[in-house]
Amino acid sequence: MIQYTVTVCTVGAITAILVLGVNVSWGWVGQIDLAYYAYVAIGAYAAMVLELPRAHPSPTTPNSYILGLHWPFIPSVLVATAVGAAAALVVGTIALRRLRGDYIAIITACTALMLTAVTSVDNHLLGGYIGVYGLAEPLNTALHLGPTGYSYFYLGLCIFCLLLAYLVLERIYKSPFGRSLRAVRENDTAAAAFGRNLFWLRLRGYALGGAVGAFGGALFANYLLAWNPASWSLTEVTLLIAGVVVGGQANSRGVIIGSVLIESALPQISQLFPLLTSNSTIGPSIASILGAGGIIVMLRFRPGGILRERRAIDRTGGPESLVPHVPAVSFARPTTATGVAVGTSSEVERDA
Amino acid sequence: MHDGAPAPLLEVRGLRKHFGGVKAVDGCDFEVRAGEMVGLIGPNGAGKSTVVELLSGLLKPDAGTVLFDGRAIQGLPPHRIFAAGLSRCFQLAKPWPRLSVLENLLIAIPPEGKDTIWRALLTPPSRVRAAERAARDRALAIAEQYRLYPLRNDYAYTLSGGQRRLLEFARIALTRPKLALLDEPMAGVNPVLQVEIERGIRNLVEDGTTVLLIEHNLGFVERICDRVIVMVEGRVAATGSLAELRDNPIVQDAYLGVVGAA
Ligand SMILES: Nc1ncnc2c1ncn2[C@@H]1O[C@H](COP(=O)(O)OP(=O)(O)OP(=O)(O)O)[C@@H](O)[C@H]1O
Ligand SMILES: [Mg+2]
Repeated sequence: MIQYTVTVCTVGAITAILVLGVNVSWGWVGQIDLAYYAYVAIGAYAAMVLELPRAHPSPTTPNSYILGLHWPFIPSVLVATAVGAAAALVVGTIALRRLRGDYIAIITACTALMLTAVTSVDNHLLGGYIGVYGLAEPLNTALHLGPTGYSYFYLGLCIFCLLLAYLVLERIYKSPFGRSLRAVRENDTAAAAFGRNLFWLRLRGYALGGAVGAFGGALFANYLLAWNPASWSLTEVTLLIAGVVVGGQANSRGVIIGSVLIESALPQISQLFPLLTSNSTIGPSIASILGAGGIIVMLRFRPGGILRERRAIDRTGGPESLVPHVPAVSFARPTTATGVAVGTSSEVERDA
Repeated sequence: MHDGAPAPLLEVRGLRKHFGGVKAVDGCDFEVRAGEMVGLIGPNGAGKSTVVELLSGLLKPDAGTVLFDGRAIQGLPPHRIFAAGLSRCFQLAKPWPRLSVLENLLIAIPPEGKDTIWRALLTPPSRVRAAERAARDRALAIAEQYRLYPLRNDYAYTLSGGQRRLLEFARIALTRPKLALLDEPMAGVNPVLQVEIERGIRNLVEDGTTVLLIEHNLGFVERICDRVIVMVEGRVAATGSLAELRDNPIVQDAYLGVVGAA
């Protein structure tokens, strides 16, 4: 039971990282990216290809085509992340040239389908439908942990990576770059008129999303120790987008909550249903119904999601030079922060 | 060009833009010299706003050249034109709705290439905070000047029409451009704040910004503009001081007595 919980939590942490990436392209940049799971797969394959040793020519290990680089875990994950970003740059360059949403959705969907087709072919690098497998537990050559200890370790590692991704993305979100991205999302004409290069900003945001996806994918592959084309499809992208919608577009904390609810809690709860009925296959269907229903309910009644996007709040009394004077005419409506010097620092705060 | 006279900051030659059969801008020629404060007037539908769209790069001209600060800018993308020092406000205010008023102002401060992922990640936190504080102080000072300070933490979509116009003008004031194209900055603003915006425009000029002002209130145009360009049906019909132009039959015709009433 504990082992099961550890599994759910590990996959949950990795999924949360993936949702953070979707949130960049969809929440920040405002673009539907149906190729997202392709970047997850690219990260996974890249990490596997870099990490796998040269295979023995035995029937149990058909991966004789692998480059056999046998790279260690950390550089492989980093390079896999970079490969995902590079792939997203290439796709984005094509998809984002024309700025219509439907155009982008079609191009990204086609890209994902093409990549599935390419990897499914029995080629000599990625193993076709069988995929790549046979990875040794990363870092365990040094750690020498038993199966239970190792699963705890990998869970800790995934949570650490989630935290890292969260902190890095929060920092970018609050930076001038994040602000420019949101301006492009909110009104691209005005953003262009105020000096923003729409294509270049969108492209960089898109590549950042791809990088996060590939990072999550690399962690996922290192957890599964295998990866194949069946591991990813448009369904998974849809679920990730659901996590963003339910959690709160463009709010990193919100989308982590959304991902835990939609992708971790919901499937677990729905597993209880077969216990109540005689139909043992009802669980996944119930999960899909509840998940899709959740999106619809959310969009209808709370389009901002559980936690809404945060906006910069100024709590200072203003710059020193602003000696409070009573304006001759004031349009001021009472706001919570008006004139109250609560702290000395300005901060980004959640919208109540 | 006359001997001794400096080259104009903005030189528009043969600018043309048709929308299907509508000749919105149809061979427009004019120039604006550095430091000038020029009014652009004309009846509704004369093509004034379309000229602003063309100059700022949001629309591509069908024909014509635009020299700005010695460079041909026609057909350049809007961000390049902004970087060259030309900023504009919108006749229909375009705030970034789901961002706070403060964020709207912060975005108006020219990024100067500093809005990159690498800078976001690699700049030490103390430098980030210092830069952010400096930007905020500038933005808040402008917010105070245009009575937006109490609204600074509100979403921009909650602003009234007049407040949006104030935000629109405040954003321009933050960009400190060489040339500001102001498309009816006063429309819908109450008289007290119109005075504030008038002062704002004068401040812009004092700080070295050249201003091209589109405005229907001719009394106001007369008060603050050195020179007026009259556009009718996509072309420049006349230029000169408003006092000279009052007797011009083209202008009188175009304005149908509005000039006399102002
Ligand atoms: N995007 C567009 N598509 C089609 N026609 C347009 C477009 N923009 C402007 N027009 C037309 O071009 C003409 C000039 O419009 P413009 O907005 O430049 O006038 P204006 O001088 O700014 O008028 P106003 O004083 O009412 O603001 C109008 O006839 C208008 O209908
Ligand atoms: Mg107009």
